[in-house]
Amino acid sequence: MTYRTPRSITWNVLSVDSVTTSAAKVAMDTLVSSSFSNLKHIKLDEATIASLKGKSVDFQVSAQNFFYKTATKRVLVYFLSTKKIRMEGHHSSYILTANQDHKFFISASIPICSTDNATAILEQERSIIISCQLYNSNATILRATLSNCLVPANTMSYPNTYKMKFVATNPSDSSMTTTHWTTINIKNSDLVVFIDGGDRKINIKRTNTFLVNVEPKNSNLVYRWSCLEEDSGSYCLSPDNSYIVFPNNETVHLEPDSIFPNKEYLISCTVIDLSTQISSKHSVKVEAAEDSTLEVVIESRHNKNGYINTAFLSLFNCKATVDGEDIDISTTTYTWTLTDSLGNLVDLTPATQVLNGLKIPENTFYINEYYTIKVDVSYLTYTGTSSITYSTSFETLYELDIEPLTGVSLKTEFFLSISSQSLGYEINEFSFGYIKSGKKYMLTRSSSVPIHTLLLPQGETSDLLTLFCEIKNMQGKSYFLEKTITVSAPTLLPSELNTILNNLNCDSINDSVRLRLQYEYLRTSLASSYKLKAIELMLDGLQRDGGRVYLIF
Amino acid sequence: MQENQDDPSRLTVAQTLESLSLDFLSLGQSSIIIRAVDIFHQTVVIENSEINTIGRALEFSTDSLNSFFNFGDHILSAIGTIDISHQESVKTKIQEGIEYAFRGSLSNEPAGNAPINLQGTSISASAVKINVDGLTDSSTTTFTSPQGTDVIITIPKTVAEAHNYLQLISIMTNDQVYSTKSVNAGSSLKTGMLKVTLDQTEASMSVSESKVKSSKMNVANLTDPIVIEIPFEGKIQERDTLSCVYSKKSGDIISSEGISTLILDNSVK
Repeated sequence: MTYRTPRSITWNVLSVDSVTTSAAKVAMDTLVSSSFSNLKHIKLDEATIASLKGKSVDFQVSAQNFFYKTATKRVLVYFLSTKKIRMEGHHSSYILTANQDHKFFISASIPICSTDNATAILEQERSIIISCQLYNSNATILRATLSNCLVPANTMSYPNTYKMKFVATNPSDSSMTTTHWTTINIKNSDLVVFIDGGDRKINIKRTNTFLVNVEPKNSNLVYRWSCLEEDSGSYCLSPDNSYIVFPNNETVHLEPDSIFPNKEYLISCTVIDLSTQISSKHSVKVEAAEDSTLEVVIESRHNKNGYINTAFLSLFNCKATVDGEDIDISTTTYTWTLTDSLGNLVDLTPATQVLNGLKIPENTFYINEYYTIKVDVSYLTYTGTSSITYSTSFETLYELDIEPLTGVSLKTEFFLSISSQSLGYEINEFSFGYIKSGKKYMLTRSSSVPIHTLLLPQGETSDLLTLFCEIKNMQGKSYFLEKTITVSAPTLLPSELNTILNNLNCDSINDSVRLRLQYEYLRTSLASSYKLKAIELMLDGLQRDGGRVYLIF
Repeated sequence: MQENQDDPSRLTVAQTLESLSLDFLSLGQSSIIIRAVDIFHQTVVIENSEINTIGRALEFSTDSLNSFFNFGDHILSAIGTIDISHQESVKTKIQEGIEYAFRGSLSNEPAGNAPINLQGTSISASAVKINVDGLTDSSTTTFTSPQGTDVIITIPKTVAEAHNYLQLISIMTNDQVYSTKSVNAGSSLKTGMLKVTLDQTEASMSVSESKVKSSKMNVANLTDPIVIEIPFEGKIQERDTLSCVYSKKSGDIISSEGISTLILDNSVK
């Protein structure tokens, strides 16, 4: 099933605690009408959540698709008054080895509400502190606090049993705490075996070498190598029809003409620790060829999605191998070419070649185009080539809306929102900022809710201020949008900010940035005591960030 | 590949801390500075914990690096206003944080590019990725110390022959970052303190990862020495002897083992 972006979404609150005319409903309705239109996810602030604890809210959401068909769903949400933190990612027991690092990934969240279909909705609190303590069987603490719940290698010993205690605490409410115990049984160390030099073409005229890496290493290890021909499943034969016998060694060599072209071979190594009788095996597949070939690959992060963001610098790297061995590209002759969708060569003069790569500056590519980047490499008697095709965006995928388009700096609340104009381009996270003197300044931290109310600084020239939005969508692609609006000089007085400071709480990075803009404007005229108060509040915001709530139905 | 892009939250924190720190010297409030340094350390070092466990550094954009560096410089310039008992830990956190930010900003830097050099009033730093294959004899990095004079570091090719890429991060502070002990009573350091970190690393581009791996390089028993030229201020009197010394961590006895000192006009080598 494919989910597509609806044309419009409308949220309504039908009742609070089954009462349709209560003051709470009026407050909720205001909230809904002001900021909940066209949103898949709605966001309630902490004060609203607190006021709804123990109550139930009947939400109705209506969505219209691109064919103007409407669907409606009602969800009854119970806001919990629980004080318990929920921990996830732990097991009741682990079996671990002693000779390796072990990291425990535990997450904690506070249940906020549940819906009528009984799915609990949780809020991940970045501020929840999780501590881990490791106890041995005598119940004495082995390590008081393990950073990031990491038990370093060789902290525990074999054979032994340990207990790990995970404690999650909410620093803003010390009565909220959850403890979980888990048992750790230590088993004998594993052998980790890995063969280098596999998954490639090998040349029958050359000596092909394979090396096995073993962790942990000791003097009691023995190595049993084998070579099987994939088709027949029989052991590899030399040209004289005898079995290939490998020595008991970390490294083995397939000598020239001991294998046959156009066949696939499975090279395996079993490593046995004679002191513990533990063994482990790894196999790699190789394809034999008569001649060596130069294989060329263009590497770039664009490979992931075949898309270029024209606003960013692009770098392409070239990697060349002969029989699986890397060739130093500086010892080769190579040429980069760039062609557009009509096959016309694009001038690469502004681009620079760096080491083994090609660096293409920002804004070289036109939007709505296809480009093919090709590299031709020659090395000794070999030649190789590789090309890769990218597209720049074909339509306006996202739209940045700003309201109003003119206003007073630090006074007018600007409403910024970003919406997807195309199906299948759902926004994952985004952030807003402004550009002054060519430098980007962030106004918001990354968020999944594409809507924000912001105070803005004064414009740069003629009060024109350029705002931008950076988007990452569900496919992992990045987009950058700009829009210029008019923001006239501020009229904020120190006394006004002093009054604001007396009643202000900063709970997020965004709150801190909002206050920072006011602070920067009044920096020279603010009294020291108010400066200190403002700085404390801004630091509060940086430290408390993350305590917001998202409701997802 | 794109230019380093950091989490917008990190850049937002960096820009806010940089802006606030402009007033730290004039306000002289120790507790606020310590709190801000803890947020800096949390953002740059603690949340970047993979550097220590698997050697992978978070990316830092040029904007983030500049903001965190300026923050560090402002803090070190206001160090006298911090409670004496906290000064050493604040200086250590700033030095460590700036080193982490530089390592992250090198992550996408192609080897062979010019060093990233930043100069403040209390701290200067330089970071460069070196392609060992491209070296004929040695690689020399020069950057300006906070006093405005050149610090020159030369890495001979023999140091690095077994590796493909090296990264060199150098941080010079006006002041000593941490206390050291001297076996010769009465002697004192006449220059700022220079921290040099040499890592072996990967090529700039990694397709599947957004982080580049690096690990500390062992520089014991070198065939050719690493040459470090540090400027100093003041005049050497006839009876004075000047020597370069090092210490690995706070409280260590300073040592000159393995070091030979050459005094130039206004610098020691």
